[in-house]
Amino acid sequence: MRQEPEPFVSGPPPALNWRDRRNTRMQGELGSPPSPRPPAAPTAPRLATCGPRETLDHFDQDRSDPTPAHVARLRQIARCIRDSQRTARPIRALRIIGHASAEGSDAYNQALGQRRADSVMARLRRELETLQPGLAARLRIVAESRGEHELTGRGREFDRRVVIDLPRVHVRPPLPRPPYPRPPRVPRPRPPERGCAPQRERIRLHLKILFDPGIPISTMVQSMRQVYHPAGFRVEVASTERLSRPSLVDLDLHCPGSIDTCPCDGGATSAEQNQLFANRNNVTGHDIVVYFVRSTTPALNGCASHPAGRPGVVVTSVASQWTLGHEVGHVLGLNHVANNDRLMTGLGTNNITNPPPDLIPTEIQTMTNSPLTVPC
Amino acid sequence: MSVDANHVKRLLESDEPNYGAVVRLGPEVVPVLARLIAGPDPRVAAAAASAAGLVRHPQATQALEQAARSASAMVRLAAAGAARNMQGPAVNRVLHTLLADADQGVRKFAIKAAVARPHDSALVARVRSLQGSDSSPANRTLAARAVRFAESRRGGGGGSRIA
Repeated sequence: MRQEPEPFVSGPPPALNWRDRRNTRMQGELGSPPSPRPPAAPTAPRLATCGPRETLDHFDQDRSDPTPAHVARLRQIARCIRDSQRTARPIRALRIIGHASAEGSDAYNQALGQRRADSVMARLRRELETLQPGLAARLRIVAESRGEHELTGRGREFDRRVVIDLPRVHVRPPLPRPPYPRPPRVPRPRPPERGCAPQRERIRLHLKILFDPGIPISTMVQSMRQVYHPAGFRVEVASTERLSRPSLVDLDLHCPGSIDTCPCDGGATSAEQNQLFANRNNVTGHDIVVYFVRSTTPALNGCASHPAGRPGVVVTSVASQWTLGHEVGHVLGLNHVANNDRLMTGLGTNNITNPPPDLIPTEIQTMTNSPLTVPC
Repeated sequence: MSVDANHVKRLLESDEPNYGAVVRLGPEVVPVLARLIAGPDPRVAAAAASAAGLVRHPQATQALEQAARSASAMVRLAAAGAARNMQGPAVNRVLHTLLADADQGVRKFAIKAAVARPHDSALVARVRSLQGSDSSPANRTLAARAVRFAESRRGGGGGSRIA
């Protein structure tokens, strides 16, 4: 059985007299283990604590897997998140930001930061699941990378880090239980989580990465926002997950019964597409899932066809920076046009001549009418 | 009728290349595809290799051989995928090469193409050897399914599809 580390507890430590304090300090200097704490009072259970921002630094060079020290701290953070659910200020959402030191290229470090964030997210999810099954699925966790763009100035070891933002929300304390049976609760539509001004509609993406594309995913998302935000659509990355599905990294689009391939403008999907689109962790009703693969056969930059009720796209490693927005445009109901100034060009988004490409009013109306864009 | 190479290139440069339009240009498009496969852009070369498989013309075999020799794994992978749509001893020879490719994705599609030729015992034997030797567990599983499928086809049975 794995031994739990000593819990990170709130509140002041138990008072020590002057002799205890001196003994503790001397033992610490000599490197011997500190004297055991007096047993905790058996009264109210103490809650694990964590700050609004936790930093895990000293990642090994060019590595993304958490060190044992990181894992121990993540275990404490998981306990803190779990315990916070019982308080008036629970943690409901986390932002995990991976960073890299300045060695290596910008693009490489961007990807390295993302790998670190993804590794920490995966480990934290595992710890949360161990503590309380189902808790991780209820949290909104976003993993992103800042690459080498936010150096600490304290040295490379400190630059190689992952920062976890743990904002707390205020919730109303529960009302005292009435002395009579409660009437049945009438279900109400869930209001939007928050506004998204100046945009009018929201599009939520879940990124499932089987293979990192040549252009960083963060660049693709940013490029999509360059086009979608002015058109009134806020693009949110609801979650990022690395999928280990080696058999689907190179995706077969061969459709049984078809003479060549499954059409990418909707309709049928291949057996491997169906397998891929079954991966839907964290995905809810109006969300769109983006699967990053290495290639498809036949060769495509991306493909917008998806199984019924599972809206999503495939983006390959040779995609352009605009392919993500282009494919999501298809999912929202847009068709190709023969104009390289526009996002939906059928002549290849690699050939876009006047970036950022445009969405015209009729296309914006079509997107607004899509059930996958949600008013703010 | 000559085929405009720039037109073919434009069709293949789309994010979702218009393969149907390329196929409709007929066998005259094959030399253009061969030139694009040899060109500097591996993305277009891969799309051209995929298109060569869909043209289903004997001349396309040469384009396939060329794609199978490409330095780009993306192009070789497209060649392996294209081979599934083509027939003939020359295609089988290309598949022998692709089954030994260093890239596991190329081998995956070569296995899928080889299974469509259950009567080529040498190819089936090669796939059988990959059951135990391929470095990719996914490919080993695929090879085992492919061999079972090929044997059922040779024995006249239906077998489950290799998708």
